[in-house]
Amino acid sequence: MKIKLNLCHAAFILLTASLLIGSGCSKKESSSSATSTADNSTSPFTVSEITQTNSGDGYFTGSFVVPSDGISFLLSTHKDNNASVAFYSLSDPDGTDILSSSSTPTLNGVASGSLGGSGYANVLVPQSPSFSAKAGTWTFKAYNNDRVKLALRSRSTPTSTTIVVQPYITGTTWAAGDLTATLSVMSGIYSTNGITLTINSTITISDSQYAAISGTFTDSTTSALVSQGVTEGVNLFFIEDYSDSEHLGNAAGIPGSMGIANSWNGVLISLTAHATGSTLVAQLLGETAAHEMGHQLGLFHTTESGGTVFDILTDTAECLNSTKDFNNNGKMSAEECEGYGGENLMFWTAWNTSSRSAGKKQETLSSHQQHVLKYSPIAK
Amino acid sequence: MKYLFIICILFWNLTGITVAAPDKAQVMELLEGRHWKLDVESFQLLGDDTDKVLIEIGGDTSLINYLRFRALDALSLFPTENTASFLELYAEKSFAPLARRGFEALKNGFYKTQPQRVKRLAAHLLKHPNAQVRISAARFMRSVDAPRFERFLKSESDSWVRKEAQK
Repeated sequence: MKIKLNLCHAAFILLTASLLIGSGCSKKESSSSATSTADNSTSPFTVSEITQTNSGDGYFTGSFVVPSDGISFLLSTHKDNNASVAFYSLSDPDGTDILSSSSTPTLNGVASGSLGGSGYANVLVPQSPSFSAKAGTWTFKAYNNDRVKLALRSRSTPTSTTIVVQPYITGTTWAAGDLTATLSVMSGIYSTNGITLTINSTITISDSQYAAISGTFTDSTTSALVSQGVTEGVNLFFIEDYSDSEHLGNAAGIPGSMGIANSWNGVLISLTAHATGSTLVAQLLGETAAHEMGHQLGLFHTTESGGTVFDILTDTAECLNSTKDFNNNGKMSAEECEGYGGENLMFWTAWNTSSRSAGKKQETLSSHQQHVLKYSPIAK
Repeated sequence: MKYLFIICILFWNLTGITVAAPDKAQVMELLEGRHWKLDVESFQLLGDDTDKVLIEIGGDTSLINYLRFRALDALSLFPTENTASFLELYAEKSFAPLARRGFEALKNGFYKTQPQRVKRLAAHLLKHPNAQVRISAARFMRSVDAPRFERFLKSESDSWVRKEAQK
């Protein structure tokens, strides 16, 4: 029954789209069909392009239906020339605009779809347990874009959760086998927090141009690499080095893209940065990979570096600058925040060298953080 | 007169506190973070002798690389002769990721005051065996010596390197 409804809905959208194209009122035609699936028509995870209408006031409107067994979705807006994109509003079936600053709860100023992004921006529901993918018709108003896509998860109940991970390695200094311990650390972290990772075999990308790349996902080389990522899981690109930044790793967004092969469909992790001499520090590298994957799936830093900005979750510890910056340097170290989130996987910085040598690890996630991951559109 | 003397002594002591070399742990803390951007203000507050600590960190092969890389980046804020010599040495003699960062730090810290010195190193690095080091040197050369950059493009065999150099 559900499939029939979806097909009818798809047919209706296609018909509407073709009529609007004919009359010149449509924003965009659907690329090939209104609803395409990442796997097949019975998949609990579908990706579809939504037909939009020019509302005449500079915005483009559209809608989509979350079925009664809907679990989560990621709504994304795209601009091929990497110009700024964003949503003006996203209203749930009850009419509440979850991007409005006057709504409670709100993703205003939180979701990239509210803040705006270069070429890509999105809204994840749920990005905290305060939100849910309510069944019914959702409507949005978007700024100028080339397309809006919906990645929708339905049909499975998130009791036991599995996420597919696809690792890649670039450069020639290290080989796929060197990542075994790292991937084991990462898998252990997620397992401890109730999530099973299905880690595919690491794919080696030997093109020398990808050995060291920019940490900016709109860079043409970085984009070409990340766009190679799979659509059924989270892509981890273990690059040999960054060419222009000193991050340990970075994600394409909070969250990044899911289920669509594009420039934002993965995270970067620097191998060279995690090495002492030529030996990879597996625990730290595994934590970084797990941390960046957390961003890619929608988790923010529990506490940002200055100790004045925190994530939107209510059960994660906050480490306040006003009480915990013992050395008054304006930066909250994991050591200063021990017991106040310093041990959380999503704390902004790792334990320092001496703490790591003493066996300190960042492997915990709160119940709400686990909720966001378990309800992720890309999870099963 | 007595008060003036006391004020002078106090001022002299305070000056001494400002320029004293910072504790290594203080510097290391500013190099931490999964995501990192050079915090100019915080480093400058550490005082002039911070370069000595950064050079020690940058040259410490027992340390994890990200700390060494970031120390080199931070050295661009302390353009002393010691710093310049250290960065030149690392740009020419160390493994490629450190060599590129050595050059980048020298460029950022010394181009305004010693452009010829930076240019000399860049010219040398245009022939470096590592592509990323060549790209870094070529991008700099493009901005200061167009004919030389054109010659580099003609001699560079990797098409992707030529493309990256022109970004």
